Amino acid sequence: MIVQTAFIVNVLSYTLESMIPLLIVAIGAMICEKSGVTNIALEGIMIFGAFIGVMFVKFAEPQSLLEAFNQTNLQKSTLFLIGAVIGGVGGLLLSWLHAYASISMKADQTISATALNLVAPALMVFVARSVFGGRQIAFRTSFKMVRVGVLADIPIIGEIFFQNVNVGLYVGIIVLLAAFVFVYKTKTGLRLMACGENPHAADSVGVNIYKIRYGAVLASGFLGGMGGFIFAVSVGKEFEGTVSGYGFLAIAVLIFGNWRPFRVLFAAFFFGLMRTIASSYTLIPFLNNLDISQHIYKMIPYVATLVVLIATSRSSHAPKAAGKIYDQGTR
Amino acid sequence: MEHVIEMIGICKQFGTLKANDHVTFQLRKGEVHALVGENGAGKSTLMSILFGLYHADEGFIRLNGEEVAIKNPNDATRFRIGMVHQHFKLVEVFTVLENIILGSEDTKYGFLIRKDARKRVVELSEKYKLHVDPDALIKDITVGMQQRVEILKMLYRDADILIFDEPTAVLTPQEIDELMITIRNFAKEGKSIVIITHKLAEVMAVADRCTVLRKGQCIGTVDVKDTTTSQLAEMMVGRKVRFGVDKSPCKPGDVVFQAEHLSFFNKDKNRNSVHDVSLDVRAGEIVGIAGIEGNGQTDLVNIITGLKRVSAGTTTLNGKDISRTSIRRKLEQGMGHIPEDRHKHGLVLDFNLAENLILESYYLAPYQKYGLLQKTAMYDNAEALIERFDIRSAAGARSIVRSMSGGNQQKAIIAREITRNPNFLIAVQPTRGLDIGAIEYIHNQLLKQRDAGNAILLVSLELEETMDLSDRILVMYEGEIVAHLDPKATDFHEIGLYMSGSKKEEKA
Amino acid sequence: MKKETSAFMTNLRDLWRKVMQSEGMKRAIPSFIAIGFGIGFGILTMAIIWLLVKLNVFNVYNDPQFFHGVARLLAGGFNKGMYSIGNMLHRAAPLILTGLSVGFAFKTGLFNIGAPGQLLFGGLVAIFIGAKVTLPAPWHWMLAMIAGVLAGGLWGLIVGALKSIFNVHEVVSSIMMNYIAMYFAFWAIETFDLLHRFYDRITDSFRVANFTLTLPPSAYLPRGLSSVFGGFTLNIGILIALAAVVVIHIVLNKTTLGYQLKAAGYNRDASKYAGMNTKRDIVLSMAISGMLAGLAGTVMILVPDKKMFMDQPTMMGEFMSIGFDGISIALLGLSEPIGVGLAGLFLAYIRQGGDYIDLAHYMKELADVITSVIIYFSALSVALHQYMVERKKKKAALKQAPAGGESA
Repeated sequence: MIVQTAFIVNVLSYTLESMIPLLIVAIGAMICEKSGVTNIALEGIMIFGAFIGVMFVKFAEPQSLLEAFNQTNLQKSTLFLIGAVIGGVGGLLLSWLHAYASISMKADQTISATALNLVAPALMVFVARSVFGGRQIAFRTSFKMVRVGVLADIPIIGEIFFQNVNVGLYVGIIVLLAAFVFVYKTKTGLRLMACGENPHAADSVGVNIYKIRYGAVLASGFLGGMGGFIFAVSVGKEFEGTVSGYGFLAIAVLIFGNWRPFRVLFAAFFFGLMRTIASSYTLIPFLNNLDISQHIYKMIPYVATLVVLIATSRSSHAPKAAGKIYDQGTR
Repeated sequence: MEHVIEMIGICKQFGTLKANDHVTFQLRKGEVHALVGENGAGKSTLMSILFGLYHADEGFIRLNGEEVAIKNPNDATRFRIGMVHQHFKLVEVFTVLENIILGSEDTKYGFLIRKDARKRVVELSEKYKLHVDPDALIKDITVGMQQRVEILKMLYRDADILIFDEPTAVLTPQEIDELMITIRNFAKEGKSIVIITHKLAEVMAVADRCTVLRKGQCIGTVDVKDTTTSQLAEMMVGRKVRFGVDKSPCKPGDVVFQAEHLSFFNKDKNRNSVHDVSLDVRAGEIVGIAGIEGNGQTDLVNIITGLKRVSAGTTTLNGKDISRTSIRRKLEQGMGHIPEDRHKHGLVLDFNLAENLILESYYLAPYQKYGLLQKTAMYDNAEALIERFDIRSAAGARSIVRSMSGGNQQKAIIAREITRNPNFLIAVQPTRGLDIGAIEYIHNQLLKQRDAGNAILLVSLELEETMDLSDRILVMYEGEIVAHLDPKATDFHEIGLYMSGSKKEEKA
Repeated sequence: MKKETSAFMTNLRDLWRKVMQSEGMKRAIPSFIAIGFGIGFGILTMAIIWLLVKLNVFNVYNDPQFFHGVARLLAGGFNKGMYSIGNMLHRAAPLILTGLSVGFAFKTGLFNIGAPGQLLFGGLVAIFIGAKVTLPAPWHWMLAMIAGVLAGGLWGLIVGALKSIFNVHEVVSSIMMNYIAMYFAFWAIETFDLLHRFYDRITDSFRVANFTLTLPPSAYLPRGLSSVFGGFTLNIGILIALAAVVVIHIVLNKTTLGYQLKAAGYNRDASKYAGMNTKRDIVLSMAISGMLAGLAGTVMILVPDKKMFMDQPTMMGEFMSIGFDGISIALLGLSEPIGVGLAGLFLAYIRQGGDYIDLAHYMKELADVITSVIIYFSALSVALHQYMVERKKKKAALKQAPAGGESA
């Protein structure tokens, strides 16, 4: 009995870790799409945000391994949060390019986003190679907090949420709740949704479409960059310039979640679970004995995505005006 | 009598099109003022400028004697000007309440407060007898109720000057009467009203004065009690207008098309939008389907043409069952269709004219040989049709269709369908958005087809058109055929009753 | 004699005028402007770096020589005479094919971002045939090539079918298929022991793994002409690519199939209404697109001493970047086959130049950045220009209103 709970706790822990960056980025994508702008540049934005955030960490963390190891929870979390914000700002700046192209210049949103996906990693690898001599950027801090104070002693919940976590988990939860409240309970949220469903209607009552869409794209850039940073520091101690398709997975999560915050949470959780199973199958005796190659397991999250999309795409309800260029002249 | 609104010397140009050419328009306080003109005359543009959606290139606006600048709808709202648009500007997934408060929300630290707004909406709704359910979703309510929401949007913002853009296009005759009463009540209260319309009968019924625009210019303003519809029509068009069409008597032959017990389950609306519909159309006759938009006509056409699959029932063409065949088979069996939405379903806008004219026959000889497109044949065909149907375009057969005007695009579609000589032609809203010249032409073409012995099913929201052209009229209400009428023996009033479900034919 | 030459010159001049004023050339103008823009920006970047070094912001071993660098970049494929031209043509082949793949999809209304996966899968199957099947040349490489094409087609067909039947958005499903292709490749290489065919030196872990592909000679694409190309051995890949350009051009512009697929791409609803089987057409378009990408993969792979990287970031990076290149090339070429051919050559040309800028003491990596910038701006400018043209057309439509009548 105890063994099984411990096992489930572990699975949940790992899943949460996998899920949080995905959740944050997907929520960002949700805000962006709900305003009517598609954003498939998230992969590039995540990479860029991760890169900038990790660079900060590398220069701001204690320079000796021992000191880095001995940081308190507070120190680690502060480093983390600042890094996350910096990563977010980086993502925001990059997304500004996308916003400019697709809103002000009225270019095709898919093309502008793809261009960003090209530029971001290329730029990153270039800088990494010239400054560090290789594409990997390594840092010393392990952001996992072994115990978060007293709360860690709560049975089960304490083990999942307050042991061996990094502060990103709490950030993710806050982002989710804040987004929910923002979209459904505030005036700007109402206007945001109007922009995405029927921009002509919003325009006719005086809502400033451009301002809202810009804001939405920048917000998704911020969350994307932040999610990228969290991804990079959750995976290990170095960043290699890729986010393994998380930027695109986030879009799948968004579609699966039918553009609603709590369904997105569920979708992100589902994928986190798939990834956890994929990387820890050796610990599950039953699966381990099947002797299936590790590569097949790695495929699982992506195949699972496809299956889920097949099941849900028929009845998906995207914001009606998403992806369409808003032109005041057209009626 | 002072003028509450004066628009002086307004000019507005789109590219080389002068939508408004030195137009002067004056609205008196407490009057109902109709703004009439053909499609394209510039009426909507003028009012859009008043409402702040466009900026005039030249000219100025005076409100109660003072010059004002209206840069956007917010300004207009502040000046207590409100507008009900021709195509409703409502967010379908929002509730009635949310649509009304959008842009003028009550907030506390940014959070929405709905309580007070809801109270106010209910008050207004009762005061003006505009019944709505504040919590209903727009996509679930009727078109008539949607229009009431648009009106409430204006009243919620204390509008004093109300602009209605083609308000009666989507209403039954009874609802139109109710709207007219509501409008007259607004006027009695001291509000000033502008109605944009092309329906002269309504002008005579409700307006005090009427301004006529033609091709962007103001032709004149008259007192309604001093004029007649024919005078107004002449001002609108610039020549004497003949109302009605000359129709030779109907000589129906065999049944060409038959539909039996058709039903269609619409997933979005979660109910049958077409329910147990049976009808037939014989050679040499035009059967018209009348009904308010949203009562199943669109889905009926969809299942007859094959765009959607029937849930139940059969359709037969020339004796052969076509209920479940592909669209191509139906076309090959002798069906032709002129779609409601010419841009969405009728044409590939990015193709040129010649390519569009063979959209349904490109795979047949002489246009195809060994898989290769025979361009000479394609262009020859285009030249012939351009000549025969007088289709005008910048570069002839090679014009990209997107650059052609609506009327000529529609002519192209009609040319394509008619030359295929279908036994059974379905025409849906064939003259929507076109000017009188084009309308006359298309009506003549349809009658020619009928006289040649083909069967035509006409679906139109313009009752006049249906009455003029049809040999028999069927009325649709909530997915069912509720009446079979003879146009010579009925009138708008009676049709209106059927259209709104107030009257039901006893089943024979 | 003189009369004949002057007649000839007049004809030549008329022909030139006809080409310059043709519809196609007019439409290509934005591409040219865009390329100019992009190159200008690239040069600007180099100038900035030069300036920064001059101002001692960076310290580098050797001072970058600005004019030398720009000259190298712009000289492109001509840098080392025929050798580099040969190299350039070799690089151009897969680029052109990938561009055709994406461009074909664009023309039919689809966004094929799955070209990397199709490329990879096609290449993988080609390797399999190369390694596991014994046949004499030329059958061996021909079979490998055909198998690669069909494999790529299958990969694309899956995306098309998902969209057609289940309404799954092709961008997301394509990306999933890219990752699945990659892991599948890793698995297949391990399981089918394709590995032992590839090695030169094996490191014990899979993290950084360089392998060289070694297949029996009958499996490689025919090559030669090293005398013409100054020592560079060019294979027939470029010929295949150019042939594909011609074939696709014919299909798109002269066949009823092309007519049908384009109609479906421009307006799916109207095509359906006119009786076309749009569900089948989506699948067909993606399959053809996939086949082109598969061909690109085959052309890339069936080359002696090809280096392969077995870790995820590198392999993914390499293939994704080619896939994205395809998108840019398609955009630059306005999705028209001939345009794509030219754009592919252009990109190869610039990249070749990029290879040599380290001679002017600019970092090699800079070349990647610069070419990405060029492509970004080019693609963006083309897209913007296309949009501007659309707006002009819409305004022209309003112009016609008095003649035909439409609500304003």
